[in-house]
Order: sequence, then structure tokens, then C-alpha cells
Amino acid sequence: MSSSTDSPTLTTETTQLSPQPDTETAKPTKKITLKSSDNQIFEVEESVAMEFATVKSFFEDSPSTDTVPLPNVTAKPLSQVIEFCKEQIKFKANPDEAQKKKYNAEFVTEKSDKDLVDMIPVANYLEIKDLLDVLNQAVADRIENKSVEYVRSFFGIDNDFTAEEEAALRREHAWAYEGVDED
Amino acid sequence: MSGQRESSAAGKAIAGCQDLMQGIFSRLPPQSMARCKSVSKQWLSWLSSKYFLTQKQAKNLTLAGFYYNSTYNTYQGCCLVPPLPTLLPQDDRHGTRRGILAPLNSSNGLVLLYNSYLGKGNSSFIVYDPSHADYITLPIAPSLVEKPDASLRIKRFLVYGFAFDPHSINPNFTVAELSDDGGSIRVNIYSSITSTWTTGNYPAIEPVDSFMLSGPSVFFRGALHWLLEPSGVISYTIRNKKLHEFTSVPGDLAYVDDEGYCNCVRKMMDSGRDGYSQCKCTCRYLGESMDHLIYVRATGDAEFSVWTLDDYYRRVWSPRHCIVINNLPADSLFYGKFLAFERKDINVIFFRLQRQIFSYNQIKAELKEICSIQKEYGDDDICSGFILPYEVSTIPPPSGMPRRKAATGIAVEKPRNTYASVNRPENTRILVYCHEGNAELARAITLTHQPEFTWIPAYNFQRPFQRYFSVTSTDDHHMHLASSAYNDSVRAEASVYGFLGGRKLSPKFMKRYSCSLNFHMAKMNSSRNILQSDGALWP
Repeated sequence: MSSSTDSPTLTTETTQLSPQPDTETAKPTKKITLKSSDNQIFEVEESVAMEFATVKSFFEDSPSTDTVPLPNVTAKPLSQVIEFCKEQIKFKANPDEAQKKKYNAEFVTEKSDKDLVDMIPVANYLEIKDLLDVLNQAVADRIENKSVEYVRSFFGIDNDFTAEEEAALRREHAWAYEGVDED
Repeated sequence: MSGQRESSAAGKAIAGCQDLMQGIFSRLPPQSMARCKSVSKQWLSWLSSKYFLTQKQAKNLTLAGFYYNSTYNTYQGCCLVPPLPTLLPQDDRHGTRRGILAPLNSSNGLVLLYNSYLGKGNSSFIVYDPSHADYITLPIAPSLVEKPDASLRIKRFLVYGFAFDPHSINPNFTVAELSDDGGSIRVNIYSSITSTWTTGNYPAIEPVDSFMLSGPSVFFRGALHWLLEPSGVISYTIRNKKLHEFTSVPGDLAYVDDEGYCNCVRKMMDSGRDGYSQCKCTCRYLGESMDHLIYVRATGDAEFSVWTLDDYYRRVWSPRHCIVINNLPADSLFYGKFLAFERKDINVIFFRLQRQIFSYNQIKAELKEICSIQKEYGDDDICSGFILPYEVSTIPPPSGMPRRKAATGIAVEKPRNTYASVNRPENTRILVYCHEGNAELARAITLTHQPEFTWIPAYNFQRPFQRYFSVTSTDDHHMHLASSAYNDSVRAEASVYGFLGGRKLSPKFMKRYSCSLNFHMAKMNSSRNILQSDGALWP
């Protein structure tokens, strides 16, 4: 059975550029502005921004700033990362492991391969460990039973082995080539 | 397609960053990891690096301790090994256990046990999962029902193999028995996927009339491996059922004399200590560490030599390297036994010498006594009894593992062997298990007394039952069990009866409880509870 490959992304873009405060929480909370490398502005609650260890330390170093530039991060993965962190904050307030697990699983299953791959450097740069764990597991799950060719195309890696070298590696690990899914 | 290209650009960034890939690689099962080595040269170098392999193996397995033979039929553990299940019935009079329950092998956290009730002829293999305290009994192995031929030939060797693959989509285990069979090797294999034993014969290995295998087995790259006497290794590939020899270990034969005896055997014979070892080499070790097969032998009084299988396909061993143990307290490593490599630090090895198990750090030249074996069955002098290292796996077997899963398109006939066995962990509780020869139909049944004597069927072994009935320790009691299967139902019966302390074994004084259960497999429920008692054994 082949699983979803690079299908067009189905995720909503609603979180992007949404300066409106959360209507459920009436009391005004401190907002922090994040600026992506493609100059998109994200206003997020302080509690969400503090989930990003990188942003947190930025503020600790220079508390007076109100806009944090994120030169390595583009808007789309950032919006998805924010979406994830918002949910995690809710789980922090109301711990429910089962729900959290379910949300995390849904969060990654609905993402395209590209979305997942795009988010990994962002999660790594912003040092969001929980998200990185979830993403790493999701990518591992997607390539786990796939062929070498599939994994190469998943990451866009060029094969730099000669035919002989590759054949030798395959022989050496013949046991690993049994029961591989179709791409 | 632009989408494809974009994906490549983002993916390339990750694929070229060792730190980021480490997080993904470490979550892949071994088969996928091995395939990833063929993706690119960069990945190959990362996945073969010492740093990565140490991390990976330390994450998956932790050495908990060792099982050893403490009396002629019981095994104990030292350090933190989980206790073995207590499956043997006790002898009425002396409280000793009748039969043998011996660990034979372990693989990825599961333990293969051999269970034999003396004189009853119903020996069996048991696969035990210490993480859930579950076990399943395998159908009678072919070797146990083989009738000796007219000449009553004694087998020269019989080794066991055990492989548990927790990483496959359908986690499964394999049990193997290899023995010499005249001019060939008899291989009996049990697969948890088909729940059946299959038998095959393979050509013997030179020298045909004296070659020998020794265990325990090592599960590595989809194959089981055993030591071959006097030198080398043999492998059995589970998937394609092929036997291979890995005999050309460079320099290894220098430690074997013209008569085919290993140095350690010669030394023992010269010192008159060969009684226990029966001229079998005990100084060699086969294991797996850092994604390589490892072969070890004692090559000096304080020296082990280590060979690594560098090219598995061409079966090329690397030249040996030596581990010299400083400050060895006494005796010689020829009488010792190499036991294991530490997963977290490859410089640390474990070995036994006399009644001690030591660890040795090669870098720090640090020798530590890990534990001492209090009581051991066998020769007092040599202390070369069987010791099985046990490693805890961080990937626990699925509960009720291993489930039987019919191979697609093939109807697997239900085995009709049912077994009942008793577990008496202590004097206050009796657990009765009744199960079929495969795990999916396994049932745990707890016999309870309070408030009434009932059978509680459980659909898997994991469900704990805390209710129990008391048995005073002065009572001498018996338990009889029987089970049978008709079509779709299993009938299990157990009676517990006992004698008040000090009285003679006479039916007159016997008080008995018994109960039985009809268990309908198709409906997965119990259809009847029968309770009868003819005396008040328990107040």
C-alpha cells in the first residue's frame, strides 16, 4: 500500500496573519511579534512565544524588543509551528495525555511530506523539543518501510554511489531488503 | 513539478545535516536503517559512525544482569534480571521443585525457557516476556517426540536458537533446534507467524563426524548464529532457510591443537579439571555489538582476542585485537567465560571467572566485581556453568505477544494442543494458566477462593488479578490440572487438594477443591463455571 506522498497541502492558512486576540480569553495578554524571513508578521501570545526556546532567550537578552526577527524561518512552516504550540499550551493548562497524543498524531497525519520536512528545521531552530520529537517520529514512520529510491526522492538526495558500490551494500544488507512497501 | 522541487530543497537541507538526521535515524527500525546506508555516501558514513552506533544500541538495549544455574534444576539471576516464572510444581514432601525450567536464550527482551517435568514427558519450550510477566508455551517440539531409532544414537550436539523481531510490522519470534542427524544437520524451526514447527535437513560440515555447534544463538541481520567447534561460526537465515559457514577467522586456528582441542580444553585436561567441560571449548563467545557480529576467544591467561565480522556478505573477519586484563585476581581466563559487551560503553566488557562476574573497562584498565554467584550447580572447581546475559529492550513486546497472524491467503489450521500449567509464585496465591499452543488463544485463569471459588477467564495475560486465596505454608498440597479441546471449546480442569501438615499421604485425609471451565473460543467467553468442594482446606 502506498501512503500519501507530496499531495497538495490541505492545512488551513488561517493562523497566518491573524492579529485578532483569542476570543475565548477575554483578558488582554501580552503579544509578541515574530517576523519571518519572507517578512510576514505573526502576532502571538507571550505564552506561545515562550514555547520557542530561541525566542525566549532572545527576550531574556533584550527584554525591550517587541519584534523578533526569525531570519531562518519562512511564513508557512512558522504558522504551522505556532498552531502546534497553541494547542500544546492548552494541554499544559489541562493535562490530558490521551488527547494530546491524539492531537499530535492528527497534526502530523494531515501534513504533506513537504510540510513535515519544512517544519523540522524550524522546530530545531526555535528549539521546540516536543514538536521536533513528533516530527522526527512522523518522518521516520513515513520512510520506515520504503525503498532506498523512495527515501532518496523523499529528501531529494542524489545517489552518489556507483552501481557496483550500491550492489555491494545491498548484498551486505540483503536481510534489510525483504518486505519493503511499494513506493 | 514545482512542488516536487520545493520538497527536494527543504528535504536536502535536513538530509545534509547530521544533527537533524540523527533524530530521524534513531527512530528507524534496524532494517530501514540498513537500507538508509545505501541512500548516499554521507548517510553511509553517519550510519556507520561509532558515535551513532553507540547511541543507537544504548537506546535500544540495556544489560540487566545474568541468569545462572543455581541448583540442578533451578536458575537464578544476578544484578537486575527479572525473576523467571515459577512454573514447576512442587514435590509434595520436600517442597523441592520437580523438573527443570532453564533459560536457553534471550532476544530483544524476550527469554526462551525450556520446561521439563521430570518423568512426565511433557517437556516444552516457553517464551517468556519479563516486561509483562507473560509467557506462552509452544507446541511440543519435534525433537521431543522423535522416537529414538533402534541403535539409540546419542546426539553429538543439540543447540537452540531464539530470535524475536520487535521491529517488523507483525512482531514475531522464531525458535530453532539444531542437532546432528547422522550425516546431516537437522533443523527444527518454530515460527510464531504460522504457529507450527517445520523440519529440514542440511548437509553436515567438515569434519563430518566431529563438527559441533554450541550456543546460545545470536540474532543478527535476520539470521541466527552459533559457534562452530573448534573454530568459526554458522548462520541460519530465517527468511530463506539457508545455512552458511563463517569459518575463516584469521589466526583463530592457532589456538586449536592438532587433535581439534581448544587451548582451554587442553589446559583443563592437563590440570585434571576437564570433568565438567567434557572436552568442549568454553572460552569462546559469539555476540553482536555496534552493528557487527563479534567473535571472542581466550588467547592467554589474562587475554581475550576479539574478531569483528567486517563484511557480512563475503564473511570476512577483521584481524583480531586483544583485550589484556590487568590485575586479574587469580586463575586463568581459559577457565573463565566472556559474557557480554556493555551497550552504552563499548570499552566495557563482562566476563566470569570462578564464582565472580567482572566488568572490565579497557580504557581505564579498571576491573570491577559485578556480582558473585552464591550457589551454582556443577563442578566446584571450574565453575563453567551456563550463564545467560539478559538485556532489557526499550521496545517492549506488544501485550499478548506474539499474536498469531494468518499469512495472507493461507488458512492456518488451529493447533489442537492445549496445555495447562500452574504458577505458584508464593504460598498465598495460585495462578492457573490454561492455554493453547499459540498465544492468540492464550488464556490466563486465576483461581480464587474469596469470596468464592471462581474461574476468571482473561483474554490476555496482561490483565492482573489481585484476588487470591490463602494457603497456609504448613499445608502440603497438590494441584492437578487437565485440559482438553473439542472443536471450538477448551475445557480446563484443576483440582487443588492437600493434607494437613504432618499427616501421611492418604486419600482419607485429603481435602479437595476442584473446578472446571468450558471455554468457548469462537465466542471468547466462558460458558460455565463449576465449583465443587469436598472439604474445607482453607479456613
